[in-house]
Amino acid sequence: MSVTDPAQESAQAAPPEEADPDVQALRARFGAAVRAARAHRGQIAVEIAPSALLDAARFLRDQRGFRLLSYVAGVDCLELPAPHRFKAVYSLLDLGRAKRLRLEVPCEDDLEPRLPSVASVWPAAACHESEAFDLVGIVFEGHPGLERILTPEGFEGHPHRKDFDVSAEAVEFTFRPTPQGKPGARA
Amino acid sequence: MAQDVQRSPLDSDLLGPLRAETLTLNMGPQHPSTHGVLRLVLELDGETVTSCKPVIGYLHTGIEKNMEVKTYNKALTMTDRMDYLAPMSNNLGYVLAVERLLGLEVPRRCRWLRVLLAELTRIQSHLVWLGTHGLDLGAMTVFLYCFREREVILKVFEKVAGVRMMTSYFRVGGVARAPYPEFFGDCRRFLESFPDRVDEYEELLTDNPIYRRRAEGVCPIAPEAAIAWGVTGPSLRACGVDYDIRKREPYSSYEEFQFEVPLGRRGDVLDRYRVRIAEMRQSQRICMQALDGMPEGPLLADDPKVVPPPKEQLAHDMEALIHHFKIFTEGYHVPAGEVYQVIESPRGELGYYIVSDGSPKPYKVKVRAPSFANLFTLPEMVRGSLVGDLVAATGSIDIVLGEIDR
Repeated sequence: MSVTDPAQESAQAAPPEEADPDVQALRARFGAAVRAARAHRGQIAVEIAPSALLDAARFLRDQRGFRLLSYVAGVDCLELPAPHRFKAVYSLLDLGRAKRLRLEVPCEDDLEPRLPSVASVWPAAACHESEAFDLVGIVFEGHPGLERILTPEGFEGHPHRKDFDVSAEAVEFTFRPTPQGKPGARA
Repeated sequence: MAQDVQRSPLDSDLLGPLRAETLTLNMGPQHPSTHGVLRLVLELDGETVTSCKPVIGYLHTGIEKNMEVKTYNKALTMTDRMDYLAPMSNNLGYVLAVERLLGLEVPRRCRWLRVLLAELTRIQSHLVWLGTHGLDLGAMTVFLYCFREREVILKVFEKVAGVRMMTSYFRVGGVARAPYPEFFGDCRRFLESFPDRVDEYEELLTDNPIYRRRAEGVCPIAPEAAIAWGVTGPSLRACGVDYDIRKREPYSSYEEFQFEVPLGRRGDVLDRYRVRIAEMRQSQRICMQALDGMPEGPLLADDPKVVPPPKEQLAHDMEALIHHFKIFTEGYHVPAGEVYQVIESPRGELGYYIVSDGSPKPYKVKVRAPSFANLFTLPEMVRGSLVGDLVAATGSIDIVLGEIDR
């Protein structure tokens, strides 16, 4: 245990991303698979290659104490300056140190975004991954039961994609001719 | 001969051998004990639950998507529609996230006022939970008692924010308006009597043998499993895991308040009940400290680009008029970046993950709703328990479908 208050450390006076012990540990273990680390407003985000995701997840859980997964979010970076369109964001929490870490994993295929599921590492991931699949359309391979979770069955498209059409909804009108041969009441 | 006597017409000769098969049962989407529109697909072996699958989405209204086309100020009003039982907590999480993106500090008086109202929210949210949890288990009276006190808090909310439930009172950089003159007196009068009220609830339930039989040892979850499944809030602390965001990652000046974090031991329904009852007492303590030490000084952050000017100024101050116009038409630009801001909502870790692209509208908002993760722990909790206990367990994790479906 360090002498500094861990809550303070993670909340406000976070050191630059490279001085962070978890980022250093990840870099030491995974090398180039750790593509970038950045700090913003006292919070640290690490970008990991998709191929290293599962190993990094297990490493962070078992060696670094990140036993709680807060959420998994799918992000459509269509309008952001990013090399890949989709990324998944994993927010981890180490209860002992009150330390949070955000993992960002880009999907390399822009048309069919796929990532390995981390539900085997954190069971909590299953429902969040289902949500990211439903809303953003990232397919999580190895997920115990990937299906739509918020939108109804038979829903088409992924509403949190930036190009999802929210402007209009097709409404089908059916007409039944009246005896006079004019269109009348809706069937 | 004795064997012949035992034979009945319903004997296997007539009906064939007794078949052992499970029954699939839909509980909900319309069922009072699901606390909203939730469907639980149950697999039953007799009365024992062998599997349980929550089916959600009936209240999905695309709130996060909707926030993307609204300015930061307008998006705020959608937050209290998610967890409608804890509107102020939702407002708080959102404004803290946006303030963090902006790098904006609000004055100490504002932070304290937010703590006071957030804790009143916790009390009234726990009161709804306690009342409905009692109803689930057949204890009608508790509900009436709880709603009596909740009404007092909602009246205060109505007077301070103008609305009982969808308060939208906390704003980025401050609060919507200064509290009304008798506000602190109203709070104090209620809070001074509140510990006695909690005693009343406890008299009704804590040592009530019927309640104890329904709650004690029912649907427990181990701390390791709770953490792995992402349980947070009172349900996590009921397993004995000492993690309260107000203590460990303080926000809005919680570090200045004295309070204890109540913990359970076994993580069963009774412990979840005990933790929440104790939390109400601690919230009352925090509120009293906030009332006693409420700092004087400004209430709003000094940032004319974000905080609208007082209405009176608009008539004679050109600059104020321009700021007012800019804020309410275009909105304020938030520097590009991403933050994840957590608070301890009455249900657990409520987090706002906001991606800003530098425009006046959030590029992406992801709400980490505590009920969402907590609900998907339910199958873990109820496997092997009785259907009747499932009702107790569902109530005990305190879900709000509004924030699960968003």
